[in-house]
Amino acid sequence: MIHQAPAIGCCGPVETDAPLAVTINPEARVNVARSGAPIGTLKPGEWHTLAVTVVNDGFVTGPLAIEAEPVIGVQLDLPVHELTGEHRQDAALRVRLDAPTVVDVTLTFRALGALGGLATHSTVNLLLSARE
Amino acid sequence: MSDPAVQPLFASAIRAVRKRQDLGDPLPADVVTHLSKLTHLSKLTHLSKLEGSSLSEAERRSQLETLLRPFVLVDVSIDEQGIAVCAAGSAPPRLVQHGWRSFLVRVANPHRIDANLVATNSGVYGVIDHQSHSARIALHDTLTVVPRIKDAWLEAAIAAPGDLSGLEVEYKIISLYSREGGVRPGGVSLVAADEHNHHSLSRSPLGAAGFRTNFELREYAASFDFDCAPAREIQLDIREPDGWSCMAAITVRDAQGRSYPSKAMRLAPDMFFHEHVYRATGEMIRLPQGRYQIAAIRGPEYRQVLLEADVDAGTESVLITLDRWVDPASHGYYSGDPHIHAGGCSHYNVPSEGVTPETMIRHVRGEGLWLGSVLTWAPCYYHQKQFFSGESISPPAELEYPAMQAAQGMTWSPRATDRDAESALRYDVEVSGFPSSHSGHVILLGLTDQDYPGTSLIEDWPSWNLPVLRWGKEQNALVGYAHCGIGLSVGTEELPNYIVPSFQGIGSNEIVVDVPLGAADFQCGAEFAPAAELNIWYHLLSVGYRTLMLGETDYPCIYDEGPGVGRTYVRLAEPPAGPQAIEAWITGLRESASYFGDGRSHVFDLAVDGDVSREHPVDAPGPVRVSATVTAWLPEQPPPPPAGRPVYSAPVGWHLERDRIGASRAVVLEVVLNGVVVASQELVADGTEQEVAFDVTVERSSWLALRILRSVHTQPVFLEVGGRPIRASRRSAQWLHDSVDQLWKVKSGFIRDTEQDAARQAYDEAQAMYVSRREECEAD
Repeated sequence: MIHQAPAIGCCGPVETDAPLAVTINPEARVNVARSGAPIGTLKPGEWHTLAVTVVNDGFVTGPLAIEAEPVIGVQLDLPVHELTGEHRQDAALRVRLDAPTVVDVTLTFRALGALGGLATHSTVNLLLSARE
Repeated sequence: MSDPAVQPLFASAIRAVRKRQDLGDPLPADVVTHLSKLTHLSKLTHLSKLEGSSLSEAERRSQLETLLRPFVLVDVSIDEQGIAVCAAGSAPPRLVQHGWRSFLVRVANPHRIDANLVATNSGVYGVIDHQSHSARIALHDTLTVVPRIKDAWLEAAIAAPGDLSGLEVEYKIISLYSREGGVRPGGVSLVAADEHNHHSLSRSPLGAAGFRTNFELREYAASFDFDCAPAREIQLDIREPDGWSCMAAITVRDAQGRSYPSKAMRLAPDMFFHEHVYRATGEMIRLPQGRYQIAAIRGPEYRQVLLEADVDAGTESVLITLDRWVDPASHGYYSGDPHIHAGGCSHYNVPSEGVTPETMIRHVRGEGLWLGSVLTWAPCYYHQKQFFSGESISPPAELEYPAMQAAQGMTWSPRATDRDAESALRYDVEVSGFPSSHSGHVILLGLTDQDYPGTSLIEDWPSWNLPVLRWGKEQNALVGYAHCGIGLSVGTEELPNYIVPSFQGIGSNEIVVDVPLGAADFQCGAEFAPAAELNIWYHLLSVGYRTLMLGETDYPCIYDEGPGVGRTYVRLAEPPAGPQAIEAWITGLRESASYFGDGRSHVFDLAVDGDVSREHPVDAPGPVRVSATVTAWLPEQPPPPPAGRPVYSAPVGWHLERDRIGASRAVVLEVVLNGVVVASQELVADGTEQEVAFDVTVERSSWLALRILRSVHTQPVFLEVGGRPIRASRRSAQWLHDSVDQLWKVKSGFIRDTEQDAARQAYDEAQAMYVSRREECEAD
């Protein structure tokens, strides 16, 4: 007999200081998760950059789009990133809250246009707060 | 506690409502409508625009919580230390026996702790121990296990994602499964595993969260009197195409893809690591009312049957007619799996130190195998060895440990079938977890004595394999190596190749020493990449050794699916049956035709110039006629990709689907001469039997076989030309010689000092024989 080896592979936790980690598996499926790094508190009316680490095990190239459901009082700058196919790539998005508040934002990451994520794993919700 | 902001509170509620819809257990339509009205929108997806209403934030929070409160089963409060305290909510605790129901969970998190919310379980999966390697028991473990099984009737799961955002209040979904019907008291307990502030090296975040609840005499669980609507006993009328009764693997899923019975509520003979269960004609499965997909199969000689079944108040039985596409036994070929286990790996170790022969025979019958070699090895060795008798057995597939079965509610009566006598078990030994296991795991088939002379503990056995193999051969056992390819991969699919592997694993390592000394008969594979498995075999054959190769599963260690994932077919004059079944099968392996693989393709009656003998002498170099009857079956199209995947991908290892040529239904059948492909033809894998023939030129004494790589490989036919022994490859002899050096380099340190001299001498003798044969080789 042999003992079953622990699962290893593409989509384990990502070591990163960025609050969001996107992994793209060998079948080009996108998975996004909070990394454990803090988001921090935003200042009302100011843009806040959220770093995103992309780990690309699928050699996927082309656009990585970020979509969000609209939330009143929240402005999102969601640039389309060009995936280079490199294993690790840095990306970012920006968020601005109009006033001191707490909001829940849902983000969905898409690569290769039509290809979705692993079940609903390409979607993440973030709790963002802004204080003076 | 500060009040939660309205928008994230509603976002959380929306996700929970959607999740219940996704789970097929939606909130009542009038409630969803009310939610829609609250938002002034028709779609839940825009509920967050409630902010546009004229209500105050407090009023909006209040209305939302009032609306959802009747559906909240558990109110959770997380204190400043991250400890979750549960209380019963307003939702009526109505469950269904052998089914799932989902409810809202309201989480009050005033300290805004980021954590992962997890339901703790008292299910049977938590009772059984599948991780320890305890090998000795003092007391029969049913003494303590029975009450625990009896109490483990409720399973709870937080629907993903379980992570808390840190909002003061949010909603989650919990799903509950009940094994029992009627009114039963029970508790639901949740813990908050904080992965971000975790500082323990000895406990996981989940373990630490549970551990903290041990320090106070405080009630952390919510208590309920669950009202569980009963499920019905549904009789499975399983039939062979000829109407005979039999055992088969049955998978039952509901519309959400959940399997029945719950995998977390299984006790032998139903395995928690299977999705299917094995049932005989007339045996039962309990299902609540609903619509189910039932899949039935009996090993790779059958096509899977899929049917939809509606279970309602009038349903008593379901007819399942199996679909057999090939019957090798009708050609005189009888299947066996030389490597399955009843304890360890995925099998639990307690209760009760693995499973009994009555459970193993159920699994072997359910896969349509004639023989299963149940190998006792280190975990559970001292318990499992009681089942060794030196004879093959075919016991009734009774339920084991009646007290445990009764506690689990296993009230169905096992049924005998028309096919029962066509499957047998033979208990033997795999030398795994023993002092010599570093040299590869030895399989001993057909032992008359399972204890190495002069030993009472496995730690006393030899620290290298040759003495063990010789002791086995003294008993006329067939001896060889398990999972041959482990550690022998060299990063190429080329066959043969001449790269010396690392021998760092537990493949057929010492076989390079044991075969030339006449001490090893076979190696087992059909589990991993063919190049890693076949290369060492091809080299041994090409310098004149008659080593056998068998297909095995190493169930449930390498493959969990069932016995016979890898299998071996042996041609016999009559079916292997009775106490000497394994001996008859072994004799066939030594003397008759056989092949191994995944059971999805078959090669009958391999003949050279019409002669089906394994030894076929020829007078002089020249052409020979190779013929066989071959059949293989693939579905017309590749299977559809699973949900969320772009394409279907066959399992890694041996599987005929990996041989499909493009999108066609064809595969390639190859003739191998001295390890090299000398002829091939495409074969349509439509399940029909096809006569094939090839003209092959034999220039010198050679070995010849047919294969569909990754699916089937025959034993070789040996063609000695003019009475000269096979010496077909100088490079093979050199590879074997150099492999002995590499083996000594990496493994000799594990051999006891007292055995080092004997081992070195054996290694030297083996190398000397390879040098001698290298000089005798007729070709490079």
